[in-house]
Amino acid sequence: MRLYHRSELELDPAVAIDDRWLRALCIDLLGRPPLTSERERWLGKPLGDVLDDLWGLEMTWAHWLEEQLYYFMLIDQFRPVGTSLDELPGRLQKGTLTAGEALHRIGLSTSFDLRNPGADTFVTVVMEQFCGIEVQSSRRELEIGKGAYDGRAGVFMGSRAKSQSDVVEVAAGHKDAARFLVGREYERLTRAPMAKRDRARAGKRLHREPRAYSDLVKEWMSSEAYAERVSRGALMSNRTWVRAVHVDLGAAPPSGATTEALRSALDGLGDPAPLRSTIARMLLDAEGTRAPRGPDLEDAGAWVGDVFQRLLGRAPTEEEKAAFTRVASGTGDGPTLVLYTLLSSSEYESS
Amino acid sequence: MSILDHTHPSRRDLLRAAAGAGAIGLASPLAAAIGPIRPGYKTKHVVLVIMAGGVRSRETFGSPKQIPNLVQLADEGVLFTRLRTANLGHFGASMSIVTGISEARGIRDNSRAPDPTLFEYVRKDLGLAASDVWVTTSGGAQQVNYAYGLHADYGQKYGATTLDGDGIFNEEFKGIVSKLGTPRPLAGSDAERVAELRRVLRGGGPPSAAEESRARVERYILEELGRGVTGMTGAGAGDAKAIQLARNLLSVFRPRMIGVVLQQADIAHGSFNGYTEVIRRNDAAIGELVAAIRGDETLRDSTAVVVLPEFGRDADLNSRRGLDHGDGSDDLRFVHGVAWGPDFKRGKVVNDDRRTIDVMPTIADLFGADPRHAKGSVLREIYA
Repeated sequence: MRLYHRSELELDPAVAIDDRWLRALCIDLLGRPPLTSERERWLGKPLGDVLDDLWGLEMTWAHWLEEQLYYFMLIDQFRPVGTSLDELPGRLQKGTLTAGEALHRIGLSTSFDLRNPGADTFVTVVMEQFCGIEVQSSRRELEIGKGAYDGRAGVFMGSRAKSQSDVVEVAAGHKDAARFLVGREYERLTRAPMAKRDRARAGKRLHREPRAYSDLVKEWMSSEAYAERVSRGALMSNRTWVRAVHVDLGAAPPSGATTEALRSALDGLGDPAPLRSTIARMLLDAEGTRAPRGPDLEDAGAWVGDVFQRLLGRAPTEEEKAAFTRVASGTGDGPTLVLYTLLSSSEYESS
Repeated sequence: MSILDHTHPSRRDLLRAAAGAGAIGLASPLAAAIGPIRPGYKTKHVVLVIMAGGVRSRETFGSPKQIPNLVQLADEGVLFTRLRTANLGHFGASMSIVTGISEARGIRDNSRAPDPTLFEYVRKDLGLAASDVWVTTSGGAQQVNYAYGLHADYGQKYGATTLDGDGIFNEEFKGIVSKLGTPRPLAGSDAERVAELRRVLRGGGPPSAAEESRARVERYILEELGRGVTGMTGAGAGDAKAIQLARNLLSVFRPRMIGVVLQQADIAHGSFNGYTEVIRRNDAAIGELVAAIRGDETLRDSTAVVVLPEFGRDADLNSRRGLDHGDGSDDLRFVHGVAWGPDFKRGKVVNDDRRTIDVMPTIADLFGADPRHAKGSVLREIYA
């Protein structure tokens, strides 16, 4: 199924989405592939409708929050658990909080403070991560911010500040923060840098209309740049991979604790592929995620076709179908070997 | 032609030899097969320990009783008393040591450097396999970025194999492994069927070198999970795991190069006592690493160890009676460093200013690699 262009840079949101598109949208917005029920609901529906549906879900904002916490490196022992940040996805979904305000709340959290101890580290990280400022070439601003952190009044980034919370408020509300946010979010979703002029324009809009974030993202995800991301595939982050492999084995998404433990382990490798392979085998061997056994398959060829479609977002080639069907219909563990081969493939990692 | 052509076995030889080594902990036959890095030199292996997290000289060589093992290394090697560095954040300053280029990086920047790292230079110039060059870390997700940069002529295919001790070998992950059960090894016809499916999936042809290397790393991780690294706890446990991993890797793979990047001294922001405890624990762990080298017949006279922090800390305590890093003082901008090895002078003290970014070209020189994009200079005065 193809998506047809409405203009040179924009796709027609009325055209239906296929498995590859649905998988990419769910991975980028929910941090996992679609569940069976979601696949039944969204497959073949117009792109615009699916995007509207997804942005209306609290779990989309929960994933957004996870991505932001990871960006700020609020993970492992610095991960906020059971704090006021827990209410952010619900408020973002209801529209009682904007994306910029949510980032401001993260900057005020105890986790952020613990992660970035001391005036120099704290102010440096705020300037770098909220506004994309290189502090080495903004030493004066850094010193003013450090003074404000320690309680000395000063004009920091154009506004009065005399406390640690003022430093966060000034940076989070700065026009550079809006421009920097749209640039990094565009790149996170399309896996391509945003043109400088587009970034300036979108940043200006977000600064002026803080509630425009969802509309901007929908525009990006209906763009040619996003179509290219879908077409070439994109490497899954470790957290997404952990959730994907659970969902693709027919289970529910894993608990937050399991996700974090596996994500943390995978983050410990420069190349996580060997450990991903190990985890895939552990899950396949475990009760609850056990694959069907060869003799259980009434039509091994159809099963192989469905597995390719679900896991890789495409149909198998003739050679692939023959080889995988042969193994699937063989001795008892054939389907497990098929699943293991696909889950440990580089193509699966780039959904 | 590589300078190692006459002494260095092919990758196939290495893999065959390693496969024959069997269980972890057994002396590898690789060691007997490899020669010195450069003709006329004795060094075959280099361990670079970046004591990152911000460590002042006052708490190291300014308090020698705290660091008896580093003092002993200095007595038997070369001590630099004024290595100039810059406050580029822990990540940027440590990255500068491995790239040999002092450049700003965001403190929480989780991305690769644009420049090649020491590990890429030595792998590319010497034709080394991934299992010949390792990095062990303790700082989590961000630190795996030391493995390689984004330079078009180098990059991932020349990167170091990187393990974060606190990431992989954490109790939570071990708990999941215990709950789900260690995976059954693929063997016999199952292994053959998977190999055939993989061949079809990649459109034919043999597996790449990267795939073979990944399979070895997978086996290593599974065996390491059953050892003691996971159980380490307390102040500086992450650093201790990184150093212990380096010890284990030396005994298993006999790699040419191991980079160890520590991080936990940064506890100093809020706890001066915790900071000094981390320094003492890291000194002890480095002592055990060196003891293991001294006790290994094939490593004893062929391994060099280089240790340095990425930068120091402020001159004065902060309001929480901790130590930040941002005052621009000499305590922050100058650190001590040690180089110990069979080709280095003994008991030499260099009091002149040198730079932390000079360490990378010096190690590259020891390997005969050309760090063509690095800005640092070779520290020639260390050679005996």
